[in-house]
Amino acid sequence: MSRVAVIGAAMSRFGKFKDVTVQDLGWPVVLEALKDAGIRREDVNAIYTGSAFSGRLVGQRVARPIGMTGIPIVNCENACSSGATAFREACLAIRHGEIDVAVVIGIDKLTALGGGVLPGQAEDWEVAVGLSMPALYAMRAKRYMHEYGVTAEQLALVAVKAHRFGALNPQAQYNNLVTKEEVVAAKPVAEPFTLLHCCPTADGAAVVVVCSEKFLARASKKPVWVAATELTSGLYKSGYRDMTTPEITVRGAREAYELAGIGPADIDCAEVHDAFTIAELLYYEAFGFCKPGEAIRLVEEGATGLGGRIPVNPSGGLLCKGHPIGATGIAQIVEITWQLRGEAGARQVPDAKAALTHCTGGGIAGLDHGACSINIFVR
Amino acid sequence: MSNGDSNERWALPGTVRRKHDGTVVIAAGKCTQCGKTLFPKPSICPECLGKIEPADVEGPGKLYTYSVVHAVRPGWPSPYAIAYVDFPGDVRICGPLDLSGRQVPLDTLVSIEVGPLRTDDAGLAWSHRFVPIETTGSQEGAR
Repeated sequence: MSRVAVIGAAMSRFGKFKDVTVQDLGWPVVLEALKDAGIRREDVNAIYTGSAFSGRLVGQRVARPIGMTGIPIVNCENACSSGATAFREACLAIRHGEIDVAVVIGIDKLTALGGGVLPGQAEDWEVAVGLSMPALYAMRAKRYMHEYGVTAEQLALVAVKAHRFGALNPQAQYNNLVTKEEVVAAKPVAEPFTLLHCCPTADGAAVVVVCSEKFLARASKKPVWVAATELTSGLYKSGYRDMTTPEITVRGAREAYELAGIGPADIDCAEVHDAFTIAELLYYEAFGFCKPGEAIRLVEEGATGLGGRIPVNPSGGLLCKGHPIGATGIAQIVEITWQLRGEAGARQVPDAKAALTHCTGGGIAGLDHGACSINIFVR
Repeated sequence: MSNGDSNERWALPGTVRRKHDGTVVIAAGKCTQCGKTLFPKPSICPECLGKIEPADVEGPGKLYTYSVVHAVRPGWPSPYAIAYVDFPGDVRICGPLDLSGRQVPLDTLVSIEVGPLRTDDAGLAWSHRFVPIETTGSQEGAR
């Protein structure tokens, strides 16, 4: 069994690039990641790609313009966890000695869908009666606010924090600051959410290069080690469900900490799936950064902001950096790689040694979420 | 549904039934083996793989959570409210909530009714809908 290291990371700026094809969004980022790792394309044994809305053979389409074909190319779809699922597949192949070097691509072009709320799965019976992702998270928020006495104004602070970080990330879709008042007054989407409580429609690509211990000597960058790579699906349960506790993430977090042999107190920073403001609060609690019902205090006290005890979503998160579904899992790993190498610029978490990435999603009736992927990294 | 117009249909066919006394019930399924009530009625029990028989879910239910949705897909009313409602026996059902512009507190009791849901190329679709049960003197949660 080989340990697995991240040795190259790159991402496009996230944003709306209607006139750029998926292939052209992707291949320049692959070349950049190879350059970052200091390796040649011939060193790569396999490509793993995650995308959810960009059609078939996405990996082949991205690899073709740069002649990286003729090797195994695996295309993964797992909703918001598509990219992270591809990452796990690459890690498993390296860990078990099948390959030494893999390129992992996360990519999607959501502007091709026309913008607005993502289409739901038409045969899902809850979608048929009006459920959408904003509505689902809004209902979680409503119950959470009811149980813990949190207000919409307090919830808005999560978006304010996201933009403070995003303003420091040149790759983020938005670099503007927002005030609590602006978040509250923005266009309503699904109460209690306004537009600024929701991640924007985005296009983008992110790429990492992973390798075995054996190959490491040939890489130019110091390794960022994969301490745990965990994937699970939501437990199907008909009937009552506590929507203030994200079942799939609570379970995944426990498994991931166990695999890595560390706990929440050891984590220096985290990228979590803040598709909507409420999600960030639910995930602080799921990862044990605080007790249930206390997450808003972390935001209010600045504990998860720049210079705080445990900065969360230093990239700006999905809320500000953008959320091109399949790209998100890899973009999170790119950010954490930069953080652990000390290359994160103005948003650098001082002396970060251990960090985690988390993406979960996929609306499916009877499951908390379809998929959840958690990775823990150490340097 | 109003009058059997061929352009009107159920969004979820076979899920709503009106009893002889006029009460609307949701047509669900119950496992003959483990007794679990499931909606929509599945072909097989996902808990124990047992056989399923028809079972009605009757109101009132309790409003677990809801949202008033403003970003709507084409053909949907704007805004509309959607809810999760809990019924006795570990049954939670998603569906439109008839707020008529009001705000109601969570855990309010709701009845099951039917109503128009949305329109598309195939015409008007109907479904179950939840209607808050008026309780005298309760102004809690009003705007």
